[in-house]
Amino acid sequence: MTDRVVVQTQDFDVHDEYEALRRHNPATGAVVCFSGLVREFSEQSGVTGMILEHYPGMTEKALKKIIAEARQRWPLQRVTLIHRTGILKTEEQIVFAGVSSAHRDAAFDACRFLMDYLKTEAPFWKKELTETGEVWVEARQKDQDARQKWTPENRNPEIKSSDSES
Amino acid sequence: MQILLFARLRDVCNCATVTLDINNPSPVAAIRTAMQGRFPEHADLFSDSYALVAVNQEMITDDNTLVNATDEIAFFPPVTGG
Repeated sequence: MTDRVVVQTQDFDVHDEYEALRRHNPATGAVVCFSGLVREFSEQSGVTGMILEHYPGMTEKALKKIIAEARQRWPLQRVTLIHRTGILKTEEQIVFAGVSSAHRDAAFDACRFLMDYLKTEAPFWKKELTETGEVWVEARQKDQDARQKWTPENRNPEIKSSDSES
Repeated sequence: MQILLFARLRDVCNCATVTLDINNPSPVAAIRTAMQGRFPEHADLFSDSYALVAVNQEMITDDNTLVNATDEIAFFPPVTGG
């Protein structure tokens, strides 16, 4: 029952994070890790990277609250959420969500839940850097839709394939 | 009452903190209206269909929520992390 919440400008190492979720816990039967990357957005041309802003203090609280909600739904062991801030170039890692559990179903579902909630509840904002200037990224309806799948009336959502970023 | 602004809202208003002379306590809806009065050219960005509000670093979903001058109140755009 260990939560690791990190908001930092530095990069992270997925292998180290995986090992921290896996090691010294014989009760663990499954680890699911997700990493999100900065990709070239289609709305603007010539995107070279982005600036990630957040609300210091609230960010950490919001991430802990999201983990607490996941723990109420699934029997989880260790949970890690890492989000980077500051200037990030395309192809860089931006976010990590990792979960360990006795069985894979809980780990898969909880990892997806963490990301769906993070994208609508945690106070981060992306500003794209392009060759012609800076542009704030606007929220997308499909992220709200992904979040809605987990509301009580949709408790066991049928996971559809989607192309949503990170 | 002090209001914190983040991201696009801070950029368009060109300030990170706004001080409002408003009753104590007031519902969040009254603060929205006051912000729209302060920044009329950006009124749509402060409407309840756009700006999110956090009180003491927790997102609120009800504009009838009462806030005091001692509360930490923040307005910001829909979030885009991840």
